[in-house]
Amino acid sequence: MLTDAGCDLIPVGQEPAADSTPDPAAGSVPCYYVPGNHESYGLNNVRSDLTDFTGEFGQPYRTFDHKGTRFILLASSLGSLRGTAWDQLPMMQQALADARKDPSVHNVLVFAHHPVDDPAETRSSQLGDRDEAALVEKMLTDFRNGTGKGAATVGSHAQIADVHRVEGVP
Amino acid sequence: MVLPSSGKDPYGTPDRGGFTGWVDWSVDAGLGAGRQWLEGDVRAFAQSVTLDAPGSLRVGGTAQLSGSIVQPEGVSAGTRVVPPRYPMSVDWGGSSSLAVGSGKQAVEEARRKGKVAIHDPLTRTLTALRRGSVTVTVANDSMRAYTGADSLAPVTASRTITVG
Repeated sequence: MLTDAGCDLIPVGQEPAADSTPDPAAGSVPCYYVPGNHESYGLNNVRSDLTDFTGEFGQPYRTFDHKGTRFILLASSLGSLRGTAWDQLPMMQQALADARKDPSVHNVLVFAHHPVDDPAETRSSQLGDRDEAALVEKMLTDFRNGTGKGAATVGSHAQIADVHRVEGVP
Repeated sequence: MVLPSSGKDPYGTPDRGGFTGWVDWSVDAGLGAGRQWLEGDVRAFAQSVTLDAPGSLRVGGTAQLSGSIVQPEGVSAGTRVVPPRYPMSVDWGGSSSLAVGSGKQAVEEARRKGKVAIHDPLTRTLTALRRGSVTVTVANDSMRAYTGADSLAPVTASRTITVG
């Protein structure tokens, strides 16, 4: 239940209201955020980096394991992974390499705000560097084919509920 | 995979994923990449739901159920009409005389249990199995201003069909 979590949506630059629902202090389910383009704009559109987000939530990319699933959370705020934070690419490479060998990891889920592919014909809301998108696809399809462990990417930004698969990787 | 918008106006057409909502993911750690290890429950927001079904069916008869949901604009009244089918997950239910399931085995089990009808959520086809009365309900998550626990209740529509 989301109502049991410490998550809340508030306007940019504001603190949660005292009677915020759900109560952010009562949370038992941790929330993890991946920053989108709006998280790079700052209040009144004065920024194009993740200074504010990082100040609130720490490093904007990370991995963690939960019940056999390895989560890889990436920062795509500026439209590409390498342009937003290059170091997250070797982090992802290492997380996948470790997951190959680790019998306690059964599958991998990769989250970023920008999807690898925009389902709309305009293709305007996706990772902008298509070499980078191909790299992400190759890393995940190689992982799946080499291990038999599931892998998937989840994005948003394009605002169309959609699933398609590349070599068995949604 | 691409998530729906949870608040902003979505892109694309409503019948092809252009609706607001959220996704509840489930992972089965026991299943490998070649099986259904990941499931997404795609929950669209609704301010109202309609369900179209015939008032009566003959035993052995079938009916294609249809309907729509209207989505709110934020928590205010909206106008976006979305068909209750893929890529949205639709929560079908109803009276105890209704079975919900797909395939031959599900139909046989429904007969054995004395169900009046079975609804196939994949084809949205209702099949009448024996005489009696059956109620079909479709439920969607709401999205309205929070005024207490009641405001979190889903939005539903029901139809009662007489099988004779």
